[in-house]
Amino acid sequence: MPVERFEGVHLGRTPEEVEEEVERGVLLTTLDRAVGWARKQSMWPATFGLACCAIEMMSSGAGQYDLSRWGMELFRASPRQSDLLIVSGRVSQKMAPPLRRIYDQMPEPRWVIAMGVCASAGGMFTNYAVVQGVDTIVPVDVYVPGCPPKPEMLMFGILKLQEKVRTSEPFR
Amino acid sequence: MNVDGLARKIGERVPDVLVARGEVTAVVEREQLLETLAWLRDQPDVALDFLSSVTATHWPDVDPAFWVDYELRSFPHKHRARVKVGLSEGDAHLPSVTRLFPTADWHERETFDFYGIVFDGHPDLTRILLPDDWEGYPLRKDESLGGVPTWFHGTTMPPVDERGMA
Amino acid sequence: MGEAPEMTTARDAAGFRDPATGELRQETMIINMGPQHPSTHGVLRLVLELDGETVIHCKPVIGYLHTGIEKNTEYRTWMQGVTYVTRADYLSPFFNELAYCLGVERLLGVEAPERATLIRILVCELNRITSHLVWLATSGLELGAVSVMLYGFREREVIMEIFEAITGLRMNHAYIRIGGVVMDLPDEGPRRIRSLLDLLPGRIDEYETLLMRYDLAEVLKNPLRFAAQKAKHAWDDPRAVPSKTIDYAKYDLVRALNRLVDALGLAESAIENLLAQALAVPASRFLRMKRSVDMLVSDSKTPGCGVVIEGTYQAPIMVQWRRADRGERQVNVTLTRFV
Repeated sequence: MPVERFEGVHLGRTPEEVEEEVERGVLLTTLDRAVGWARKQSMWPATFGLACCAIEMMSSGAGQYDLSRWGMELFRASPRQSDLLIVSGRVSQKMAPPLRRIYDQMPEPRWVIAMGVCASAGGMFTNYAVVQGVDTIVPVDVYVPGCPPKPEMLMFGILKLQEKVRTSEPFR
Repeated sequence: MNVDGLARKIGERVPDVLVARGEVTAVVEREQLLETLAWLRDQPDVALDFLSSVTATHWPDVDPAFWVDYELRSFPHKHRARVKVGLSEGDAHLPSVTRLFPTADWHERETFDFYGIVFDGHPDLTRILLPDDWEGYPLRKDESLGGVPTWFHGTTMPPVDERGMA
Repeated sequence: MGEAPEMTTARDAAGFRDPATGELRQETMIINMGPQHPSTHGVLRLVLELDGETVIHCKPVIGYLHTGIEKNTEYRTWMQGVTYVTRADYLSPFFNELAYCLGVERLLGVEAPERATLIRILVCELNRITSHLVWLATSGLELGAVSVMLYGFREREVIMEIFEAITGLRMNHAYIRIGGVVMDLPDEGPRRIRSLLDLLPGRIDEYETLLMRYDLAEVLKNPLRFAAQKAKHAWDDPRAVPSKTIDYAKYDLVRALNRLVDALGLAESAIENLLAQALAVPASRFLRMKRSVDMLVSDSKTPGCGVVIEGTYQAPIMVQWRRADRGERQVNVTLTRFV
């Protein structure tokens, strides 16, 4: 019994038509690219507010600057649910062990943004109490300068990080 | 009560009272500290009933090497006064005032944390702001600032305490 | 009848029972909360000692943001110190600058000129609004009202733009300097501040409608009627009455109120006063907050003697009342808010 075919649903009849149909409806890519694209699109930061920069980070998440345009308005309370650690502010020597523990609790793959000059390099607080750059404790992907960085600067850093995540090749 | 009146009133009890820039400072010995603070608190027309801060200063090469300050505030009369105790370098301990002013608890811990001044009779004299295993007392003048050199492309800049005031 | 044989369960083996007495061991548990915890808003650590679910002891641990500003300023000039103290409290930087500068000015024996003083007051007051907006926003966040956070930060951005126009920075301005301020107000400064003042009152009304289900002014016009309407509504919904209080809430509200008024021989206005007193407490505007109100109600038969009506406010309002024990003239009125 012949199978009834509906117009426009099945692939074309001739080889040329089949090829044309495939080009129209199927996306060809590598696995690396697909995974990078998926990881980039919805990054969940951990709520880790330390100092002045934390307020600017909250501003970035609020209505005016609206981080949710890049799928990251969802600040997770638990590090186990987050991909991104935004170290926002000066890290004191007392805070360094908890910071490292939070980083260790985050699942792979994980990324770190050092927001502000204190987190990046100690900044103006070159003294006994402040860790001189959070990269002495955890690996940092993007450094955002400024004291504090404006929300636009944080967003630029985030876009740079997303670019890095998108072009990373996790399967090589 | 104005500043001079307050200074005169405190001067009835404490011999060494200074008035400078509109602030009253009473300098007492370590042995008289507790009874002086209790007197200042309980005297009705002085009534310095709130201890707003306990802190210290370090003077490395002179004899009272530490001056411990007790900043007092009066809610009924809305005036302030300060009580200072001088301590020498090797003998930096004095009685705790937490029995008189419960607010002194954390302030005395902070002073211990930064200057290594021991408050006898404090309920829990441990470090408060620095990590528990910290060594040294960072706000003493002979402690270094603890910065690291800043690296630039092709050059370094020493930490602030080594490069002067610039 | 012989003794039952000793049962050895997994719980016993795990040490839940005291081996000597055989009773379940009663121990407290110590739980660490923070320093990274969403409800501590940053860096506070609480070491809690729990007995079951009851916190019996709490030891706060601070110092996770100790920055060593004091030591740094030892190596800086007095004028450079402003840059450090403004970062001490990043929600109200102007106040730190002002306190520091006033201290140094007192040491120097100088005074800022009048215009500089007025500018200082102006920026401090604006800063107070931004600081309170952050408080309101995060308080809403903790109560579960996420939208309040978005609204609070929206208005804060408006003021931040004014700060940026005045000082060049959004935060950590170092604007107030020893002996004055660093520069004069920009040309468009006063205009922007005036437009802000036009904007803010309406926005604050918005917060009120966000945080309150009902307009307080409307409620206060006739609290009794409001209570009656809302409670009647709540009465129809069986979920509205918690099971713990179902024994007390036995009567229909309007009938209950009428009986109350009759029993006490009171004018309606006395009850209204009670309700108005309960409703007019600003803290009770927020969701799920209660307020107890004591009120002396004079008895009609024996002048001078009175009974206290105790009320607890939540809205939409359900008035619950309980008949007093015999021989007493005490009536408990509980205003409960069911959301």
